[in-house]
Formats: sequence, C-alpha cells, structure tokens
Amino acid sequence: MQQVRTDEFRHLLERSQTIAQAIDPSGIAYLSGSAADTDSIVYQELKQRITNIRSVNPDVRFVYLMGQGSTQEIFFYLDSEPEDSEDASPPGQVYTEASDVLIGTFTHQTSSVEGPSPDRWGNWISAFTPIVDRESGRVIAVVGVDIAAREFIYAQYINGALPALLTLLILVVLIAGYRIRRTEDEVLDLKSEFLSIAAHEIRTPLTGIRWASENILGDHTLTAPVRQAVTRIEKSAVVLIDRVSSLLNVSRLESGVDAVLTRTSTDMTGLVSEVIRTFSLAAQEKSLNMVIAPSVPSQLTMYVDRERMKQALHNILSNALKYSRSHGVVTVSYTQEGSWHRLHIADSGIGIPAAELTHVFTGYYRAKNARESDTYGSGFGLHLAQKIVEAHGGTLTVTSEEGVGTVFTLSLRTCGVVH
Amino acid sequence: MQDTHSILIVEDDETLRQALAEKFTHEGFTVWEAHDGLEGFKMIEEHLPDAIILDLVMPDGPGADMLRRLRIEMPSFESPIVVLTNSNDSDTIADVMQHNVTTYLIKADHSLSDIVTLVSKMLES
Repeated sequence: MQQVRTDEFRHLLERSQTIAQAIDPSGIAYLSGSAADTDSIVYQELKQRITNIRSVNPDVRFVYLMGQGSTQEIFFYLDSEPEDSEDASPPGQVYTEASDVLIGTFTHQTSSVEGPSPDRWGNWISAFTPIVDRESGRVIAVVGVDIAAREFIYAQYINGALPALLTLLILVVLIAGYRIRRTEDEVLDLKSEFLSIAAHEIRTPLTGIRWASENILGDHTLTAPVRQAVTRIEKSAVVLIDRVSSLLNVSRLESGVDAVLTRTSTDMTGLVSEVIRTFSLAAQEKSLNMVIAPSVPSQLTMYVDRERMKQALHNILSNALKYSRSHGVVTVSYTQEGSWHRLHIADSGIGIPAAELTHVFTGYYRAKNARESDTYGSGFGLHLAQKIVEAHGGTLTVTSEEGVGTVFTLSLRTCGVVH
Repeated sequence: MQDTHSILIVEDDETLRQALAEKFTHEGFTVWEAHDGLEGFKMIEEHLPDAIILDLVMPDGPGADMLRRLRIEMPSFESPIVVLTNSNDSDTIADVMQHNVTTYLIKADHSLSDIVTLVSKMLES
C-alpha cells in the first residue's frame, strides 16, 4: 500500500465511513450470504440504498458489503451493480483477492484504505469500514468503496499536480518572456554594435581615399588632367562617405538603436540659424541666399532632441540648397495653427514632379529630374529627416511645383513647447 | 610662442596616419607619428607635443585608455587633444570626452584642411 496522497485516501475513507453509518447492522443479521438473499426485503432495501449511494457518487465505481465466512474467507453480501451487470457479484461470491488490509478490517474493527491494488475487475483504490454489531461488538460486515486507480491518479493531478503544473507553466511563461525580452535587448545590442563597426570599417578606408586625394591636390605641379581626375576621386569619396553615413543613420533609427530621444529645451530659431551658418560657404558658391523670414519668432523653444533635430534641419536645408538654382533664395518662414508650430523651408529650385511627390520620403529615392540634374544625393536625407520629426510626434510634409520650387513643412506640437 | 608647432598623430591606420602627417608637415608642423596608444604615450613623455590627434579605435584598446593613463600620470600636460573617430557609437565618444578632450571629429566628415585649421585655431587661443 502506498502511503502517499494522504488527503485523497482520507477523503475516500470518510466516504466509506459515512456509507457504513447509513447501514443498520441489525438488518445484516437477516442476510445469509447466499443466492437465497436476493428474495429478502432486507437484501433488496440494502441493495437499493447502496446502488443509490453509488449513483450519486459518480467517481465511485463499486460500493459493496462483504462478510467473513467460517473459514475466514471474504464473500459478498451485495454490491451496487445492477443484477444483470457482468460485473455484479451475487450474494455469497467469494472474493479471492482479499488483501491483508481487507481481512484486517474484520479483525481490527478499524477503517482502512489501500491501493492501487488489482483484482479481476480492475485496479482500485479501496476504502473499507467495518459494520459492528452493537450487541456482540463483532464485525459482521465491511463496507467497501472502490474508485478506479486511474481516476484517482487523474484526481491527484487535478488536486495536487495541477496547481504545481500551473505554477510551472506560469514560471515557464515568465522565463520565456524574460528570455524574449533579453533576446530582443541582445539583438538590439548586436545591431548597434554591427552598425557601429560598419560605420568605422567602411568610413575609414573612404577617409583614406578622401585625404590621400586631398594631399595629391596640394601638389601645385599637377597637370590639368591629373588634377581633374583626382578631384573627381576626392568628390566621389565625399559622396560615398555621405551616403554610407546617411544609410547608417537611417539604419540606427529604424533598427531602434537610436529610438530613444534625448530631449532638452531647444531654441528652434537658433538651431535653424546654426544650420544655415554651416551652409554659408556652399550658399556663397551658388550665389544663393538663405533667409530666415520675419515671421519666425526670435526665440522658439521646443522640447526636442537637439542633435537629431539639427540633423533633420540640416538634411532639409541641404536638400533645398542642393536643388535651388544659382542666385535663388531659400526661405525659412513660420506659421502657427492652434497647438501646431510650423517651419516652412521654401526653395526656388527645380521642384518635384507631382507624380513623384509621394516618394520623396521613402528613402533610396531621387526624383527623375533630380537624378538628371548635376547634383549628388542618396535620397536618404529626407527619409531620415522625416523619421526624426515623426519620432518627436511631428510631421514633415512637402508641396512642390515643378520649375517653381518646393516647400517642406516641419510641424511640431505645442506639447513640446516650453515658454 | 614657438615658430613651429609640434603635433603627435596617434593613429593605427597607416594610410590615414600618413595622410595626416603629410598634410601637417606640409603646413609647417613638426610631426611625430605613433601607431598605437602605448607608443603614443611614450612619445608624449618624450616630446611633449603642442597638440595631439588621437584615434579612438585602435588595436591595443580604445584611445580612451591612453587618455586615462595620460591624465593620471601627467596631470600637468595641457596640450589640446583632438579625438578623431569614424565610429558613431555615442557611448564610446562619451567615454573619451570625460578625459578633458578639446574636441572630437568624425574623420570621414572632414577634409585635412578642416583639421589643420581647427588645430591651428586651438593653438592660437
């Protein structure tokens, strides 16, 4: 007998005791333990009662009443099976598989439980309670209750193992969640590391080409064709560096590596002036004016990531400068609509064909007339600028008229304004 | 003030180191070259250069390690230090900037003339 699962055993034992209490010991004296019992009213009443008990305890397979014969053999008085059932034991049928526990119930007058133990009907957990004759003090019968060992094991799972299983499941889910988060963090770290290494490993040899070319050009004895060729090499290196840097910046932003903004109170007007100053030489070369219109407040403080916003403005203004005609004007103006603060960057450039206007922010894209014009560009700049502005909860939109010019509108909401 | 300024270039990439050295020599600087942080440190002790150009990513460890040692062992050394890098890892840059570095530049974004102009300005001030 297994001594585990004590609660379950005790519960079954209590049920057998309850059933025993419902049986009047004096009636049993009328039973003979033979086929003749089936005609007696006592037998029929007891059989009915035990059958009812069994029917209201659906997990119980058998309830039965047993006696002990003169040769200590254990036999059935009756059981809860219908008489036509194959599993029914007729009165007097000897239970040859009787265990020591069952026999002990007759001897020691105590309830007991055992199992799983097999017999000809199956494998059972069984509880036995003696019915004691009040006058003689002798055990005149034993009530047995069987539940299938398999069901008992299921019940074990439900009552004992299931909570443990649920706990385990919750743990597994928690650990899996933790691991997934950790994996995501690791992937992000890897991406960051890769992009950092890529930036270094690609840009370093390009810098070598750029600087070596510059040194060659410092030689005043160069022939015109050589000077021209080396100038082209240097220019191409600069373009390539610009494209690689843009590509890496976009990758950093899109991969989530740079998803976190470091916002500070930033004067947008000051930032625009600062960016325009960096273009002063390039603007001079093109005889082009870059103007901040009077509509722009002398100070416009917004809560933004200064470096990112500077990059966005740089890319938008660089684009305006690039595609403006010589002697043209790039104007930065300002409007306010409710909580929206808008900076408009207008150029007097080649304009963007209406059909291609939707593509300017998609990255890798340059409008047809831009590709045909004598300018370098990767198409990444505006893509990155829009990503940056959107990361701030703002918008970057464009309107354009071919041959007249293009207006980019950078809009940020008041929630980011600190007065 | 000296007539000729001296500069130490600590850079592991030979092409870049030579390009910088050639440019600075051409501009009248006395140039010393080191190919890693250890050699760079020795040359600082030996020559006390007026300015240093320091590469951030080198095989014997980040330029930040050399700076850390420099700031501890030679606290009186105050020549301007320009950190050059092609890495855009803000953590690495933030790390090196702790060590009283004058400025840092992304190499690829600057011409040699830009760098010479910058160093000259720093030496004037």
